[in-house]
Amino acid sequence: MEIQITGLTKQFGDVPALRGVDLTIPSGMFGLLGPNGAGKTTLMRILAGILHASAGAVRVGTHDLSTDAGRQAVKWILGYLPQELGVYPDLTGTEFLEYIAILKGMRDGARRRARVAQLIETVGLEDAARRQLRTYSGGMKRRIGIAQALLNDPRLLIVDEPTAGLDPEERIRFRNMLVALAGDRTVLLCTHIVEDVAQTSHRVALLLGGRVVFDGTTTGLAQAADGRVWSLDSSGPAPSGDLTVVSAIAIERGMRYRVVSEVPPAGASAVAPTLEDGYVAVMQKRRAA
Amino acid sequence: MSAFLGALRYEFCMQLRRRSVWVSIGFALVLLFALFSRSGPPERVLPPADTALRLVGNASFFLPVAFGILLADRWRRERSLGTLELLDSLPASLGARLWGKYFGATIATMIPLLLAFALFMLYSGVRIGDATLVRFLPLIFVVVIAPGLLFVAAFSIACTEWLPVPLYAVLFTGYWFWGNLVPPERMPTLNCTLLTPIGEYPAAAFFQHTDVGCFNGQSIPIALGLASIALLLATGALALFALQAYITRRAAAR
Repeated sequence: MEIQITGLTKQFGDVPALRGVDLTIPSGMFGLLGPNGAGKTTLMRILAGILHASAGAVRVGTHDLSTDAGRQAVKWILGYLPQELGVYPDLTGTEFLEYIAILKGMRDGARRRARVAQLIETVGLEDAARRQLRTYSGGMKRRIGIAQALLNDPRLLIVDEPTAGLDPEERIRFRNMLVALAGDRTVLLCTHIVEDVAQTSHRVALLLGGRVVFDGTTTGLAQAADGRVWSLDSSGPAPSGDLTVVSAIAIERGMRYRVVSEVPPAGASAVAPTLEDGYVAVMQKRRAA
Repeated sequence: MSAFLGALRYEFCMQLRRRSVWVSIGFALVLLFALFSRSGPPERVLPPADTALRLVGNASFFLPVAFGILLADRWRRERSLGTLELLDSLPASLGARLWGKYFGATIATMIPLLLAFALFMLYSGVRIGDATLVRFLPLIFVVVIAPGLLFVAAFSIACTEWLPVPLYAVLFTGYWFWGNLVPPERMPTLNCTLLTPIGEYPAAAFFQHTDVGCFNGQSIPIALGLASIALLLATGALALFALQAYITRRAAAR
């Protein structure tokens, strides 16, 4: 299922959140990156039918999101995990999923219960399923959120910061699950954890200030930092100037800095760029422009 | 329909599990016991149904106030819990969710309330020498009490879309005493009108309970009792439809 976004604009009063976004999201995993306030969540909410576009067009498969019928049709095939997922503290994990399944139109009780049990196992909450959600940790609530998004076996899965609050093992497990799911459906992974996109997605878009500043493959994004990534060992002060320190690791005699910069700092050696370097390089270029 | 029933079922469960529902109604019951434990037996012997209605009238001083306040956070809390965004992304209609919540939470709150009415009637019945007065409660509850509660519940859910819950609780308490207990000859009030949620008209029309309150022994036709019930239910429904229309309109403008 392909998503076609053309000239999408969203204004909140005088504040523009999206400014003429053009984007095609094909089937499979698609990563959406960007800093806070870039417009990612607004774009997700428009795709989920929660917000209306101020201008432009969005088509999800054959459904036109500018119409009520189109938005409603997308809701039937959608799995959505919002960034801030609220749950009912007085319900157990199983009850919450059952309730959401009913609201998703899963009428057959036996199939619904079987699906809930299956997803509780998938997200590893078997032991906590009968406990009230008020007793869940942040990570456990996130896992319940992931399970609810998958209840209706959605053709379109939109997950906004899905791995926030998960421990490293859970993150890896969830990422693998997304990749497995993505085979015959569209999975839109919206995050600012670049590593999650690097490990899951072939295609990626980068939003900044409500505009798409990169749209291509993850390899292409990493290549945006070709010739701009440097490693520098120093016992003195941290490098400064027109550069971004991507990482700083303590070594035996001082610090090892990984730097993204157009001009190599003195004494630095070039290293191969990663996706994170590419992200930083694109941001640097756009901010400089 | 299944979304409505699902919302009803789970809102019922959530409300019934709230400790504050049981504690608040228990507190209102203790207040009632404290207030009426010193009152003596009736001055004259009344028919048992009439006595039962008097007791219900006494209990209605406080119990429905707790009932209305306990429902006031039900709609509002979708915002404070952060569940709205998820719910809005689901195919279930707003109407199914809203009406399911209304009936589920209302019925759940009625359970401890009914229990409190029963305990008060049992206690008072024993004190005045007729422990079986409580047998009238189911019929009185359906005909006299429930229509007013449904009316109150609708406003408690709808008004908190615009009013903070604590402010609503204060205003509602004021309304309850003004609209049900203030005699109309003292100041303009909804008391003694068809819109009195305490159930003066149904009590008078169906049980000939006319010697206290608004009617001074004057008989009230069944039609007026039915009209009062219909008016209370319709006004409550109107409040919920207004809320539904407002939210739909707001969602379209987002």
